[in-house]
Amino acid sequence: MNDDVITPARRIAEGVFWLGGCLSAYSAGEEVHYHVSSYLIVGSKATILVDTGDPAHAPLVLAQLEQALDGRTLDYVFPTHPEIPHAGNLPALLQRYPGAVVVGDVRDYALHFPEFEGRLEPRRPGESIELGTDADSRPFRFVPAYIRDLENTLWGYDGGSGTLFVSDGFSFIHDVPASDAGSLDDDEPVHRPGQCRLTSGEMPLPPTVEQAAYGTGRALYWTKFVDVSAAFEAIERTLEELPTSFIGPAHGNVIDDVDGMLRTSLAAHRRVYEGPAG
Amino acid sequence: MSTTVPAVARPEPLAGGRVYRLGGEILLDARVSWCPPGVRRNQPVNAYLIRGDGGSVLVDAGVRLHEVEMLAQLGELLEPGEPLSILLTRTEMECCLNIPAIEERFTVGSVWYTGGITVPRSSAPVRRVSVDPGTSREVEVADGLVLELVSPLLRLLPTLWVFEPSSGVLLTSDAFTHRASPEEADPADGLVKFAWFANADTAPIAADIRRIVESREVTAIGPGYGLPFVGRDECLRAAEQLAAHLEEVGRG
Repeated sequence: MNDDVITPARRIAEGVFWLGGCLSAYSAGEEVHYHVSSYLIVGSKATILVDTGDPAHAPLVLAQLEQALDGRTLDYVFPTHPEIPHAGNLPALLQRYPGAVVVGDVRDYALHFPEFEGRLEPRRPGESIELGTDADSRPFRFVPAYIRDLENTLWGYDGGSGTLFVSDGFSFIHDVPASDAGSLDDDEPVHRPGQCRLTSGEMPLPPTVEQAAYGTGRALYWTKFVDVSAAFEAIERTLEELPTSFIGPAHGNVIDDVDGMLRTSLAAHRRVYEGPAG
Repeated sequence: MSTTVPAVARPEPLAGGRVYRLGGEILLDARVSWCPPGVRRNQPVNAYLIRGDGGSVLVDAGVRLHEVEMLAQLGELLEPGEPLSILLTRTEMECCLNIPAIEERFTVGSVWYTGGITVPRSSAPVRRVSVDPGTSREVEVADGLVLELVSPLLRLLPTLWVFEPSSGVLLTSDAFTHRASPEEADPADGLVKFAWFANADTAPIAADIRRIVESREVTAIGPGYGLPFVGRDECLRAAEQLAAHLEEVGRG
């Protein structure tokens, strides 16, 4: 466990809370930190949690959730896809909140959590859940995952805050092992304290293409083989349709400079695809 | 052994009993993400037990839907107190969620995994193994039981294929999953989860598959789901068909 254990949920916009913490990853014997994030959206009528966090963070996520809900209950859990950092805490959440249902592309979950099969409610891209009331509408929309690994992945969009939740997309890590980046001294600490749970605009320096490429290459191996330009065109069309102030990745700092980070992320994907010398 | 095992879920020996196929069947339909369009049939979801002289290695732990079957099958095969190591081909939910239940009942000495970010939940020591994609390395996973761990290019997340050299069994995780019956094996059926291939240069991936199977004396291919391929000729044929199909669907 790391020093995020007691970190409370962070409010990033009206009714949007950033939960979770960092796990450690290793490359060339060096430690880097890697966000495993969940996001809670609190509407006037209903609440939804995007991704469950990793089981290693279960006590942390449950505590953060209770604090952020502030007496409300959890109505929906939306694991963006059935991998452990995104769905591994489903049993703990569904036990804690017996009225909550699982929404999204719910294929496979009955294989993993057969005891909760009756609480799976499929949603398709383009469908929405109303988190508000007639007088105070706050639709949460399910969006195709243009960058993904598993095919049963969805992204989400909170219309109330203009936040796009992108699962494994737009991943980056706080720093890059020296052997990979070639930019750090051998004895320089790889993880820079204080960079966990900062927005991209709060980082001492904007995330670099190398940082984004490292995170992307780890989280999305297949992008080594695929030119993702078409996916980014689709993302840009989505951003035109859905005004976006924040991007919430599962494995990177929250992005509050959407235009800038789009460029960085696309450049990172190109770096992964073409190789460092490409 | 005293455990009663349902007749439909008995462990199936491969390669003369050095390796056993465990698990159960699921209904493969639109509720399963790797189901080909329009298909509705039963499909085995497999874990494998490799028997050694000083202990056994369980390769993947089965889906939780099959927890009862997995425990019963292990109970039938393992001697009381027999050391057991668990080796995960992927740290994904379909491979590792039964570990706590298995640990409650059997003597699990270690859990091996690949990747680095997601660590399997286990009370036994977890041991990370790293293999560069396109290469392999030998690892003594249990006392006296050395397995060749192959990192294939055909993958989404960090993945190990497991080659047991004395029997020639190659366990291929989420690849070679397309055999529906002894007569029916369409490589396209096993690539639903790898949809990105349509936009990828798949030539190196196809070459890697051919190299892995042709350069070893593979006598059986045991996938994570679907039926195994058994016999040297059948394994070579399956590898060639899968590689050729990959080349066909890729843009390379």
